[in-house]
Amino acid sequence: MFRLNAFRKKDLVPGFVLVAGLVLLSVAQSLVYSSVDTSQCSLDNFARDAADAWENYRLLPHTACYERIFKNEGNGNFSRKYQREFEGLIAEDHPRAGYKIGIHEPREQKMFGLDGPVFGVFYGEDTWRPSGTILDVRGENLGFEPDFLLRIGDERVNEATTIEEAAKYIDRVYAFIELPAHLADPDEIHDAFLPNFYMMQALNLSARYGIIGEYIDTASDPDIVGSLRNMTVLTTDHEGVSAPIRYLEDDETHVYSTAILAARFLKERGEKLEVGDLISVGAMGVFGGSGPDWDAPGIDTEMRHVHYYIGDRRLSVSVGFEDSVRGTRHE
Amino acid sequence: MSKWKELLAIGIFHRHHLLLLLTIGCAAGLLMTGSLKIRGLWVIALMFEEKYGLPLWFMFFVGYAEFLGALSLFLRRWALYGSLGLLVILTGASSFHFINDDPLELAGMAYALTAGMLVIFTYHWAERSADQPHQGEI
Repeated sequence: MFRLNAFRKKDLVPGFVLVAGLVLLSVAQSLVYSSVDTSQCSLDNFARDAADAWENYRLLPHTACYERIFKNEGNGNFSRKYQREFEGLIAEDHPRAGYKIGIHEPREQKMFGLDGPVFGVFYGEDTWRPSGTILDVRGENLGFEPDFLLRIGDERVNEATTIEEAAKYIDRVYAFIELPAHLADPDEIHDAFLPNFYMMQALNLSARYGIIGEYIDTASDPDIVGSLRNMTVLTTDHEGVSAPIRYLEDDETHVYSTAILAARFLKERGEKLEVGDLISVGAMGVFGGSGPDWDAPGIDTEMRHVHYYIGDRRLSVSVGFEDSVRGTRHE
Repeated sequence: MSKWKELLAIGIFHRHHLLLLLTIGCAAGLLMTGSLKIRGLWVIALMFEEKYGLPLWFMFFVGYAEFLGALSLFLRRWALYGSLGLLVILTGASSFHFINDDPLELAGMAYALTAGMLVIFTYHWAERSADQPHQGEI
Protein backbone atom coordinates (compact mmCIF):
# COMPACT_ATOMS: atom_id res chain seq x y z
CA MET A 1 0.00 0.00 0.00
CA PHE A 2 2.80 2.43 0.88
CA ARG A 3 5.77 2.46 -1.48
CA LEU A 4 9.05 4.29 -1.02
CA ASN A 5 9.30 5.01 -4.73
CA ALA A 6 6.31 7.32 -4.29
CA PHE A 7 9.01 9.83 -3.37
CA ARG A 8 10.50 10.70 -6.73
CA LYS A 9 14.21 11.46 -7.03
CA LYS A 10 13.54 14.24 -9.53
CA ASP A 11 11.52 16.08 -6.88
CA LEU A 12 14.19 15.88 -4.20
CA VAL A 13 16.60 18.43 -5.67
CA PRO A 14 14.10 21.32 -5.96
CA GLY A 15 12.78 20.35 -2.51
CA PHE A 16 16.18 20.61 -0.87
CA VAL A 17 16.95 23.84 -2.76
CA LEU A 18 13.72 25.32 -1.42
CA VAL A 19 14.53 24.30 2.17
CA ALA A 20 18.08 25.68 1.88
CA GLY A 21 16.69 28.91 0.45
CA LEU A 22 14.24 29.24 3.32
CA VAL A 23 17.04 28.73 5.83
CA LEU A 24 19.09 31.50 4.22
CA LEU A 25 16.06 33.80 4.03
CA SER A 26 15.25 33.11 7.69
CA VAL A 27 18.79 33.81 8.85
CA ALA A 28 18.82 37.06 6.90
CA GLN A 29 15.44 38.10 8.28
CA SER A 30 16.48 37.32 11.85
CA LEU A 31 19.61 39.47 11.41
CA VAL A 32 17.50 42.39 10.19
CA TYR A 33 14.86 41.81 12.91
CA SER A 34 17.35 41.85 15.74
CA SER A 35 19.85 44.37 14.47
CA VAL A 36 20.23 47.03 17.14
CA ASP A 37 23.08 49.45 17.57
CA THR A 38 23.81 49.21 21.30
CA SER A 39 26.29 52.06 21.09
CA GLN A 40 23.34 54.47 20.83
CA CYS A 41 22.57 54.21 24.53
CA SER A 42 24.31 53.78 27.84
CA LEU A 43 22.83 52.22 30.96
CA ASP A 44 24.34 55.15 32.83
CA ASN A 45 21.46 57.18 31.38
CA PHE A 46 18.73 54.55 31.70
CA ALA A 47 17.29 55.61 35.05
CA ARG A 48 17.18 59.29 34.06
CA ASP A 49 15.64 58.52 30.64
CA ALA A 50 13.03 56.25 32.26
CA ALA A 51 12.23 58.74 35.03
CA ASP A 52 11.86 61.60 32.50
CA ALA A 53 9.54 59.44 30.36
CA TRP A 54 7.46 58.49 33.44
CA GLU A 55 7.30 62.07 34.73
CA ASN A 56 6.30 63.56 31.37
CA TYR A 57 3.94 60.81 30.13
CA ARG A 58 6.24 60.04 27.22
CA LEU A 59 7.89 56.95 25.77
CA LEU A 60 11.36 55.81 26.67
CA PRO A 61 13.99 57.01 24.16
CA HIS A 62 16.36 54.35 22.78
CA THR A 63 13.90 51.62 23.76
CA ALA A 64 15.35 49.04 21.36
CA CYS A 65 18.90 49.78 22.48
CA TYR A 66 18.10 49.45 26.18
CA GLU A 67 15.99 46.38 25.52
CA ARG A 68 18.87 44.65 23.78
CA ILE A 69 21.26 45.39 26.64
CA PHE A 70 18.87 44.01 29.27
CA LYS A 71 18.14 41.02 27.07
CA ASN A 72 21.82 40.26 26.56
CA GLU A 73 22.38 40.50 30.29
CA GLY A 74 19.34 38.29 31.00
CA ASN A 75 19.66 38.65 34.75
CA GLY A 76 16.97 39.57 37.27
CA ASN A 77 19.39 41.07 39.81
CA PHE A 78 20.96 43.22 37.10
CA SER A 79 17.51 44.52 36.11
CA ARG A 80 16.48 45.18 39.73
CA LYS A 81 19.62 47.29 40.23
CA TYR A 82 18.49 49.65 37.45
CA GLN A 83 14.90 49.47 38.69
CA ARG A 84 16.09 50.80 42.06
CA GLU A 85 17.93 53.66 40.32
CA PHE A 86 14.79 54.51 38.33
CA GLU A 87 12.63 54.32 41.44
CA GLY A 88 15.08 56.49 43.37
CA LEU A 89 14.63 59.33 40.90
CA ILE A 90 10.82 59.10 40.98
CA ALA A 91 10.81 58.86 44.77
CA GLU A 92 12.59 62.22 45.01
CA ASP A 93 9.35 63.94 44.00
CA HIS A 94 6.55 61.43 44.59
CA PRO A 95 5.36 59.39 47.57
CA ARG A 96 5.29 55.61 47.51
CA ALA A 97 1.72 54.41 46.97
CA GLY A 98 1.87 50.62 46.94
CA TYR A 99 3.40 47.49 45.49
CA LYS A 100 2.73 45.09 42.68
CA ILE A 101 3.67 41.53 41.91
CA GLY A 102 3.79 40.36 38.31
CA ILE A 103 3.90 36.92 36.68
CA HIS A 104 3.35 35.16 40.01
CA GLU A 105 1.87 32.09 38.37
CA PRO A 106 4.57 29.42 37.86
CA ARG A 107 3.06 28.41 34.52
CA GLU A 108 3.39 31.97 33.23
CA GLN A 109 6.96 32.18 34.51
CA LYS A 110 7.76 28.99 32.65
CA MET A 111 6.08 30.30 29.54
CA PHE A 112 8.44 33.28 29.44
CA GLY A 113 11.62 31.69 30.71
CA LEU A 114 11.54 33.48 34.07
CA ASP A 115 12.89 31.94 37.25
CA GLY A 116 10.40 33.71 39.52
CA PRO A 117 7.87 36.52 39.85
CA VAL A 118 8.66 40.20 39.26
CA PHE A 119 8.10 43.11 41.65
CA GLY A 120 7.20 46.76 41.21
CA VAL A 121 6.47 49.81 43.34
CA PHE A 122 3.73 52.39 42.72
CA TYR A 123 4.63 56.06 43.16
CA GLY A 124 2.53 59.18 42.79
CA GLU A 125 -0.10 61.38 44.36
CA ASP A 126 -2.89 60.34 41.99
CA THR A 127 -2.08 56.67 41.58
CA TRP A 128 -5.34 55.31 42.98
CA ARG A 129 -8.62 56.41 41.43
CA PRO A 130 -12.16 55.48 42.47
CA SER A 131 -14.35 53.16 40.42
CA GLY A 132 -16.18 55.02 37.68
CA THR A 133 -13.27 57.33 36.95
CA ILE A 134 -12.85 58.56 33.38
CA LEU A 135 -9.07 58.45 33.26
CA ASP A 136 -7.09 60.85 31.08
CA VAL A 137 -4.60 58.59 29.32
CA ARG A 138 -2.49 61.62 28.27
CA GLY A 139 -1.12 59.83 25.21
CA GLU A 140 0.37 56.95 27.14
CA ASN A 141 0.06 53.25 26.25
CA LEU A 142 -1.95 51.83 29.12
CA GLY A 143 -2.69 48.19 29.78
CA PHE A 144 -6.00 47.01 31.24
CA GLU A 145 -5.53 44.33 33.86
CA PRO A 146 -8.37 42.84 35.90
CA ASP A 147 -6.63 42.58 39.22
CA PHE A 148 -7.08 42.54 42.98
CA LEU A 149 -5.76 44.87 45.64
CA LEU A 150 -4.85 43.61 49.10
CA ARG A 151 -4.60 45.86 52.16
CA ILE A 152 -2.23 44.86 54.91
CA GLY A 153 -3.81 44.85 58.38
CA ASP A 154 -0.92 43.55 60.48
CA GLU A 155 2.85 43.63 60.07
CA ARG A 156 3.05 39.99 61.05
CA VAL A 157 2.28 39.31 57.40
CA ASN A 158 6.03 39.72 56.86
CA GLU A 159 6.60 36.42 58.68
CA ALA A 160 3.78 34.52 56.94
CA THR A 161 4.83 31.51 54.90
CA THR A 162 1.42 30.10 53.92
CA ILE A 163 -1.63 31.72 52.42
CA GLU A 164 -3.65 30.77 55.51
CA GLU A 165 -1.18 32.68 57.71
CA ALA A 166 -1.12 35.65 55.33
CA ALA A 167 -4.93 35.70 55.34
CA LYS A 168 -4.95 36.56 59.05
CA TYR A 169 -2.99 39.74 58.39
CA ILE A 170 -4.75 41.01 55.26
CA ASP A 171 -7.76 43.00 56.36
CA ARG A 172 -9.34 44.03 53.06
CA VAL A 173 -9.51 42.99 49.40
CA TYR A 174 -10.64 45.44 46.72
CA ALA A 175 -12.00 44.85 43.27
CA PHE A 176 -9.26 46.48 41.23
CA ILE A 177 -8.19 47.31 37.69
CA GLU A 178 -4.52 47.99 37.25
CA LEU A 179 -3.62 50.33 34.40
CA PRO A 180 0.12 49.99 33.85
CA ALA A 181 1.71 52.66 31.63
CA HIS A 182 4.09 50.97 29.23
CA LEU A 183 7.07 53.26 28.76
CA ALA A 184 8.71 51.14 26.05
CA ASP A 185 8.23 52.56 22.55
CA PRO A 186 6.35 49.86 20.59
CA ASP A 187 7.60 51.26 17.28
CA GLU A 188 11.11 50.29 18.31
CA ILE A 189 10.33 46.75 19.46
CA HIS A 190 8.18 45.24 16.71
CA ASP A 191 4.88 46.64 18.01
CA ALA A 192 5.27 44.85 21.33
CA PHE A 193 3.52 46.61 24.19
CA LEU A 194 5.99 45.02 26.56
CA PRO A 195 9.73 44.71 26.19
CA ASN A 196 11.42 41.53 27.39
CA PHE A 197 10.75 40.74 31.02
CA TYR A 198 14.17 41.81 32.27
CA MET A 199 13.60 45.28 30.90
CA MET A 200 10.02 45.21 32.17
CA GLN A 201 11.50 44.61 35.63
CA ALA A 202 13.96 47.49 35.17
CA LEU A 203 11.01 49.73 34.15
CA ASN A 204 9.33 48.95 37.49
CA LEU A 205 6.65 46.81 35.81
CA SER A 206 5.11 49.94 34.28
CA ALA A 207 3.43 50.79 37.61
CA ARG A 208 1.27 53.91 37.18
CA TYR A 209 -2.48 53.80 37.97
CA GLY A 210 -5.07 51.64 39.65
CA ILE A 211 -8.86 51.86 39.81
CA ILE A 212 -10.21 50.84 43.20
CA GLY A 213 -13.71 49.39 43.43
CA GLU A 214 -15.88 47.68 46.02
CA TYR A 215 -14.24 45.74 48.80
CA ILE A 216 -14.66 43.05 51.43
CA ASP A 217 -13.30 43.31 54.96
CA THR A 218 -11.71 39.93 55.30
CA ALA A 219 -9.86 39.66 58.62
CA SER A 220 -12.79 38.04 60.41
CA ASP A 221 -13.96 35.89 57.49
CA PRO A 222 -12.88 32.28 58.13
CA ASP A 223 -13.87 31.22 54.62
CA ILE A 224 -12.08 33.94 52.67
CA VAL A 225 -9.15 31.79 51.50
CA GLY A 226 -11.50 29.21 50.02
CA SER A 227 -13.90 31.83 48.67
CA LEU A 228 -11.07 33.56 46.80
CA ARG A 229 -9.81 30.22 45.55
CA ASN A 230 -13.19 29.44 44.01
CA MET A 231 -14.21 32.90 42.85
CA THR A 232 -15.42 33.71 39.37
CA VAL A 233 -14.13 36.79 37.56
CA LEU A 234 -15.82 38.40 34.56
CA THR A 235 -14.80 41.39 32.47
CA THR A 236 -17.45 43.32 30.60
CA ASP A 237 -16.99 45.69 27.70
CA HIS A 238 -18.78 48.97 26.94
CA GLU A 239 -21.61 47.09 25.25
CA GLY A 240 -22.16 44.72 28.16
CA VAL A 241 -20.52 41.72 26.55
CA SER A 242 -18.77 39.63 29.19
CA ALA A 243 -15.73 37.38 29.04
CA PRO A 244 -14.65 35.07 31.85
CA ILE A 245 -11.18 35.38 33.29
CA ARG A 246 -9.54 32.06 33.90
CA TYR A 247 -8.30 31.84 37.44
CA LEU A 248 -6.08 28.99 38.60
CA GLU A 249 -7.08 27.58 41.92
CA ASP A 250 -3.96 26.19 43.55
CA ASP A 251 -1.97 27.70 46.41
CA GLU A 252 0.85 28.96 44.19
CA THR A 253 -1.59 31.10 42.22
CA HIS A 254 -3.84 32.21 45.09
CA VAL A 255 -4.04 36.01 45.28
CA TYR A 256 -2.83 35.93 48.91
CA SER A 257 0.46 34.34 47.83
CA THR A 258 1.42 37.75 46.43
CA ALA A 259 1.53 39.21 49.96
CA ILE A 260 4.16 36.62 50.87
CA LEU A 261 6.08 37.41 47.68
CA ALA A 262 5.92 41.18 48.27
CA ALA A 263 7.24 40.72 51.82
CA ARG A 264 10.09 38.62 50.42
CA PHE A 265 11.06 41.23 47.80
CA LEU A 266 10.94 44.03 50.39
CA LYS A 267 13.07 42.01 52.80
CA GLU A 268 15.75 41.84 50.09
CA ARG A 269 15.66 45.65 50.10
CA GLY A 270 15.89 45.79 53.87
CA GLU A 271 12.26 46.93 54.09
CA LYS A 272 8.98 45.37 55.15
CA LEU A 273 5.24 45.58 54.60
CA GLU A 274 3.45 47.98 56.95
CA VAL A 275 -0.15 48.36 58.10
CA GLY A 276 -2.19 49.99 55.35
CA ASP A 277 0.16 49.01 52.51
CA LEU A 278 -1.55 48.04 49.28
CA ILE A 279 -0.48 45.20 46.99
CA SER A 280 -1.67 44.72 43.43
CA VAL A 281 -1.70 40.97 42.86
CA GLY A 282 -1.12 41.06 39.10
CA ALA A 283 -3.33 40.35 36.12
CA MET A 284 -5.79 37.54 36.61
CA GLY A 285 -5.61 34.51 34.39
CA VAL A 286 -3.06 32.97 32.14
CA PHE A 287 -1.31 35.25 29.68
CA GLY A 288 -3.02 35.02 26.34
CA GLY A 289 -5.72 32.74 27.70
CA SER A 290 -8.53 35.15 28.19
CA GLY A 291 -7.84 37.48 25.36
CA PRO A 292 -9.22 40.97 25.43
CA ASP A 293 -7.74 42.22 28.67
CA TRP A 294 -4.24 41.40 27.49
CA ASP A 295 -4.55 41.67 23.76
CA ALA A 296 -5.77 45.24 23.61
CA PRO A 297 -3.31 47.65 25.16
CA GLY A 298 -4.36 50.91 26.67
CA ILE A 299 -7.28 52.93 25.51
CA ASP A 300 -7.93 50.54 22.64
CA THR A 301 -9.32 47.95 25.04
CA GLU A 302 -13.07 47.59 24.98
CA MET A 303 -13.19 46.25 28.52
CA ARG A 304 -14.60 48.65 31.08
CA HIS A 305 -15.88 46.65 34.06
CA VAL A 306 -14.69 43.74 36.16
CA HIS A 307 -16.99 41.69 38.41
CA TYR A 308 -15.78 39.27 41.08
CA TYR A 309 -18.12 36.64 42.48
CA ILE A 310 -16.62 35.70 45.84
CA GLY A 311 -18.71 33.33 47.93
CA ASP A 312 -22.18 34.88 47.89
CA ARG A 313 -20.87 38.39 47.33
CA ARG A 314 -20.21 40.35 44.18
CA LEU A 315 -17.61 43.11 43.88
CA SER A 316 -17.38 45.39 40.87
CA VAL A 317 -15.04 48.03 39.50
CA SER A 318 -15.32 50.16 36.38
CA VAL A 319 -13.22 52.62 34.43
CA GLY A 320 -13.59 54.76 31.32
CA PHE A 321 -10.96 56.55 29.30
CA GLU A 322 -10.37 59.88 27.65
CA ASP A 323 -7.17 61.03 26.04
CA SER A 324 -6.37 64.72 26.07
CA VAL A 325 -3.40 64.12 23.76
CA ARG A 326 -5.05 61.85 21.17
CA GLY A 327 -8.40 63.62 21.57
CA THR A 328 -10.50 60.51 22.19
CA ARG A 329 -13.02 59.48 24.84
CA HIS A 330 -14.30 55.99 25.71
CA GLU A 331 -16.67 55.86 28.64
CA MET B 1 -9.44 22.83 -16.95
CA SER B 2 -7.04 19.91 -17.46
CA LYS B 3 -4.15 22.29 -16.77
CA TRP B 4 -5.65 23.08 -13.37
CA LYS B 5 -6.25 19.40 -12.73
CA GLU B 6 -2.59 18.79 -13.49
CA LEU B 7 -1.47 21.53 -11.11
CA LEU B 8 -3.93 21.13 -8.25
CA ALA B 9 -4.77 18.05 -6.21
CA ILE B 10 -8.35 18.15 -7.43
CA GLY B 11 -8.53 14.45 -8.23
CA ILE B 12 -7.68 13.18 -4.77
CA PHE B 13 -9.93 15.79 -3.12
CA HIS B 14 -12.76 14.67 -5.38
CA ARG B 15 -12.30 11.06 -4.25
CA HIS B 16 -11.69 11.80 -0.57
CA HIS B 17 -13.90 14.52 0.87
CA LEU B 18 -12.48 14.01 4.37
CA LEU B 19 -9.04 14.84 2.99
CA LEU B 20 -10.40 18.05 1.45
CA LEU B 21 -11.96 19.13 4.75
CA LEU B 22 -8.84 18.28 6.73
CA THR B 23 -6.62 20.07 4.22
CA ILE B 24 -8.71 23.24 4.31
CA GLY B 25 -8.80 23.23 8.12
CA CYS B 26 -5.10 22.53 8.57
CA ALA B 27 -4.08 24.96 5.84
CA ALA B 28 -6.14 27.75 7.44
CA GLY B 29 -4.47 27.14 10.80
CA LEU B 30 -1.00 26.91 9.28
CA LEU B 31 -1.40 30.04 7.17
CA MET B 32 -2.36 31.92 10.36
CA THR B 33 0.40 30.54 12.59
CA GLY B 34 2.95 30.77 9.80
CA SER B 35 2.18 34.40 9.01
CA LEU B 36 2.45 35.34 12.70
CA LYS B 37 5.94 33.84 12.81
CA ILE B 38 7.01 35.43 9.51
CA ARG B 39 5.85 38.81 10.83
CA GLY B 40 7.96 38.21 13.95
CA LEU B 41 5.13 38.70 16.43
CA TRP B 42 6.95 39.69 19.59
CA VAL B 43 5.29 37.23 21.93
CA ILE B 44 6.18 34.30 19.67
CA ALA B 45 9.75 35.57 19.33
CA LEU B 46 9.89 35.86 23.11
CA MET B 47 8.76 32.27 23.56
CA PHE B 48 11.12 30.85 20.95
CA GLU B 49 14.11 32.59 22.47
CA GLU B 50 13.36 32.85 26.19
CA LYS B 51 11.29 29.76 26.84
CA TYR B 52 12.48 27.18 24.35
CA GLY B 53 16.03 28.52 23.84
CA LEU B 54 15.64 28.33 20.05
CA PRO B 55 17.39 30.77 17.69
CA LEU B 56 15.31 33.52 16.13
CA TRP B 57 16.07 32.42 12.57
CA PHE B 58 14.36 29.11 13.34
CA MET B 59 11.12 30.94 14.16
CA PHE B 60 11.15 32.56 10.72
CA PHE B 61 12.08 29.24 9.07
CA VAL B 62 9.18 27.46 10.75
CA GLY B 63 6.91 30.34 9.73
CA TYR B 64 7.91 30.11 6.06
CA ALA B 65 7.70 26.31 6.15
CA GLU B 66 4.20 26.44 7.63
CA PHE B 67 3.01 29.07 5.16
CA LEU B 68 4.45 27.47 2.01
CA GLY B 69 3.70 23.98 3.31
CA ALA B 70 0.04 24.93 3.74
CA LEU B 71 -0.11 26.12 0.12
CA SER B 72 1.66 22.98 -1.10
CA LEU B 73 -1.13 20.79 0.31
CA PHE B 74 -3.30 21.92 -2.61
CA LEU B 75 -0.67 21.19 -5.29
CA ARG B 76 -0.74 17.75 -6.90
CA ARG B 77 3.02 17.38 -7.27
CA TRP B 78 4.02 18.81 -3.91
CA ALA B 79 1.25 17.78 -1.49
CA LEU B 80 3.09 14.59 -0.47
CA TYR B 81 6.35 16.39 0.28
CA GLY B 82 4.63 19.37 1.87
CA SER B 83 2.61 17.16 4.20
CA LEU B 84 5.74 15.16 5.13
CA GLY B 85 7.71 18.33 5.88
CA LEU B 86 4.83 19.76 7.89
CA LEU B 87 4.44 16.49 9.76
CA VAL B 88 8.11 16.67 10.80
CA ILE B 89 7.79 20.31 11.91
CA LEU B 90 4.49 19.80 13.72
CA THR B 91 5.73 16.66 15.48
CA GLY B 92 8.72 18.69 16.67
CA ALA B 93 6.43 21.51 17.85
CA SER B 94 4.12 19.08 19.66
CA SER B 95 7.11 17.42 21.32
CA PHE B 96 8.38 20.79 22.56
CA HIS B 97 4.96 21.64 23.95
CA PHE B 98 4.61 18.22 25.57
CA ILE B 99 8.09 18.18 27.11
CA ASN B 100 7.51 21.67 28.51
CA ASP B 101 4.11 20.70 29.89
CA ASP B 102 2.48 23.62 28.09
CA PRO B 103 -1.20 24.28 28.78
CA LEU B 104 -3.68 23.03 26.21
CA GLU B 105 -4.64 26.53 25.09
CA LEU B 106 -1.03 27.00 24.00
CA ALA B 107 -0.27 23.51 22.72
CA GLY B 108 -3.69 22.38 21.49
CA MET B 109 -3.29 23.85 18.00
CA ALA B 110 0.01 22.00 17.45
CA TYR B 111 -1.47 18.71 18.73
CA ALA B 112 -4.52 19.02 16.48
CA LEU B 113 -2.50 20.01 13.42
CA THR B 114 -0.07 17.12 13.97
CA ALA B 115 -2.91 14.61 14.05
CA GLY B 116 -4.53 16.19 11.00
CA MET B 117 -1.25 16.27 9.08
CA LEU B 118 -0.58 12.60 9.81
CA VAL B 119 -3.88 11.74 8.16
CA ILE B 120 -3.23 14.06 5.21
CA PHE B 121 0.25 12.62 4.66
CA THR B 122 -1.12 9.08 4.81
CA TYR B 123 -3.73 9.88 2.14
CA HIS B 124 -1.16 11.41 -0.20
CA TRP B 125 1.40 8.65 0.30
CA ALA B 126 -1.18 5.96 -0.37
CA GLU B 127 -2.46 7.82 -3.44
CA ARG B 128 1.00 8.37 -4.88
CA SER B 129 2.01 4.79 -4.08
CA ALA B 130 -0.95 3.50 -6.06
CA ASP B 131 0.40 5.34 -9.10
CA GLN B 132 3.86 3.73 -8.84
CA PRO B 133 5.16 0.41 -10.20
CA HIS B 134 5.44 -2.35 -7.59
CA GLN B 135 8.80 -1.91 -5.90
CA GLY B 136 9.89 -0.78 -2.43
CA GLU B 137 6.52 -1.60 -0.85
CA ILE B 138 6.28 -1.42 2.94
